Amino acid sequence: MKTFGRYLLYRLENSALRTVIFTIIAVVITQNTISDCIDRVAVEYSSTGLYILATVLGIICTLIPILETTCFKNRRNLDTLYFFPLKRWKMAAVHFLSGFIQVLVIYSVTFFIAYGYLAANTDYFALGYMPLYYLFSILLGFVMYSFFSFIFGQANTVADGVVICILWMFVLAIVSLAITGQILRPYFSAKGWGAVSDLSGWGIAYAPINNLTVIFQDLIEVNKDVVDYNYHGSAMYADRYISQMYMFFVWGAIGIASAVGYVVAFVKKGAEKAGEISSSIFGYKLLIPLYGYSLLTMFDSLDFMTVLILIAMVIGYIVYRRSFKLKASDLICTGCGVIAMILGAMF
Amino acid sequence: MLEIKNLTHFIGQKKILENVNLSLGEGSVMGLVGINGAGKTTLLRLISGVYTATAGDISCDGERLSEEKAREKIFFLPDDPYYTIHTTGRSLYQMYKVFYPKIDYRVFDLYMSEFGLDEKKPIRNFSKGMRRQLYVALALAVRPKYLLLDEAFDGLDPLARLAFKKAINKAVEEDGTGVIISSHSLRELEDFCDCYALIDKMTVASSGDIAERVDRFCKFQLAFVNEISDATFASLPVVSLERNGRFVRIVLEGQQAQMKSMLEALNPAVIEQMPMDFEEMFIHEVEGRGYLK
Repeated sequence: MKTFGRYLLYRLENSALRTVIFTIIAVVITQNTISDCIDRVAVEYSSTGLYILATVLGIICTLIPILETTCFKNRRNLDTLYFFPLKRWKMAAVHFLSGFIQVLVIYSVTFFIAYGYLAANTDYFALGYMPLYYLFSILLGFVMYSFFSFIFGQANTVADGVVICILWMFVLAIVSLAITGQILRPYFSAKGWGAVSDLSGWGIAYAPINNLTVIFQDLIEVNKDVVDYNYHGSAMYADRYISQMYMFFVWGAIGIASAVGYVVAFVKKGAEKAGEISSSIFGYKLLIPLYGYSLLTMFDSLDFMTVLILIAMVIGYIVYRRSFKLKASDLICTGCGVIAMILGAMF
Repeated sequence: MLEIKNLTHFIGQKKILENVNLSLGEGSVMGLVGINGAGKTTLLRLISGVYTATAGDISCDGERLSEEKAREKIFFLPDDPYYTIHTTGRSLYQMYKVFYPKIDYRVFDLYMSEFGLDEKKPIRNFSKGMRRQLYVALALAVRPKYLLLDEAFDGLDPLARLAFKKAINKAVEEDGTGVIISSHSLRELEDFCDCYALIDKMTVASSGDIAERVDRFCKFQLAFVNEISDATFASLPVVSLERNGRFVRIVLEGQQAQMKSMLEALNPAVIEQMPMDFEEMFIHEVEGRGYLK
């Protein structure tokens, strides 16, 4: 076996305990939730509790990439890891694969135990859709996993990585909300082109798995006509998400681009950067203005909230630079926000 | 042969090394010296592949360092090597076995016993010197063709230094391992190395055989009957001069016999030649470069 395979096996062996612990926690939480969902007095109020599986997948697809690549944020570790005779892209691929295999194991065990439990305890759900849900959720798990691997890889410290991951969870939704609400909607309205479909719900990193779950929950629960339609109210959302099906492909593309970007960034990033300020273009540099400007567009007048947003931008730059001494570009960026705010208040 | 050609490296916007040229043959032990921040550790990281050079070439027996085969021949022991709270000697051995399948457990076990280390104990409880010994045991078990040691003697007690040097010497003699060792313990390096490279102002300022280099300097202690001044020695190739009244301690660059006769021409009452070592040579060398003044 070549070094790549040996290292992958080594990583899997080394993370076996973590995988077992995560699996046990996921199984216990899932089983408790599902047994609560189906142990209702009336069958029509029963649900599969699929959302807990989506939640488990979302959490592990965020945590595992962080845990799997934390060792690359420490220069001392890199002194050892990077001198090993393994090309940098192969090392990146091993950590990526090893993490995703852990995700697969944890999720698959949790899923099939839940599936078995549902099959054994209910006869009123269309559980035939479950394997299909499993396949699609794995694909979206890959998307989330790649996305967070790439994003965490942009940071030079673990703390920055966690902050940047959290910021990326919502930034697309906020930007989309700002663009739709402040630019597209008024423009479409002025042109008489009708309503603009709001895609901001798709901007949250967990949206694809959430929306897929809503669709399948609808298929599994409602199609059997035993669940109170209004109680879940999921059919309405399911219809909307089915009509916006193309967004799954958009996220699929993001997932593939993230996986490639993760490896490319890993190879290009020098060991010298470990522990330094996280100055990647996909980090604070982009996120602070995106958040700041998007939020500022949501307030028409100069008020307490807009000032608060500008203060938050400055705090963001202080966190980014790890210093009160900001760079000219940071001040210009914040200054543009102030000018926009004043202009907004004037006109 | 480990060869470094026209190596230049930047960290961010800052140039750390410029146009470094160096070579190390099999069985040769090179001391890498320089003041703090000169770029010794950066150079070792570049040779080991931890950093990728901004420009220039590093090759190992004709193969570029980017090739895995070339990197298999190199073992880098950093100043503060990797370990986690769970790491034991045994688990480190297993990790290195992944990358170096030919690692010899008997050699590892032999040195672990020689250093008095228990491979089952977590190394977080080891002192820095013990950890270094553990990594030396690993390095020797890997049997690399080239061994790079950063701040090699740091944290080692005199006995551990002795054991460490003995182990490295054995690898050099038996396997022909080439060693580059950076350290501030120049007296240790002098015992141990056959050549040196002085890193200064981002490049290899001087390099060569240690004994030859030390022989280029000579140190004398003189006493004069009459009052003297620094101007008395103006015509000599003075490297350093300490004067205390009529007593002088002087280091000259040149052949010993010639220097002695030049000093005798100044009519000292007493002239005594003193031994010169690598550390003194280093101090004079860096003083000559504008440091420590």
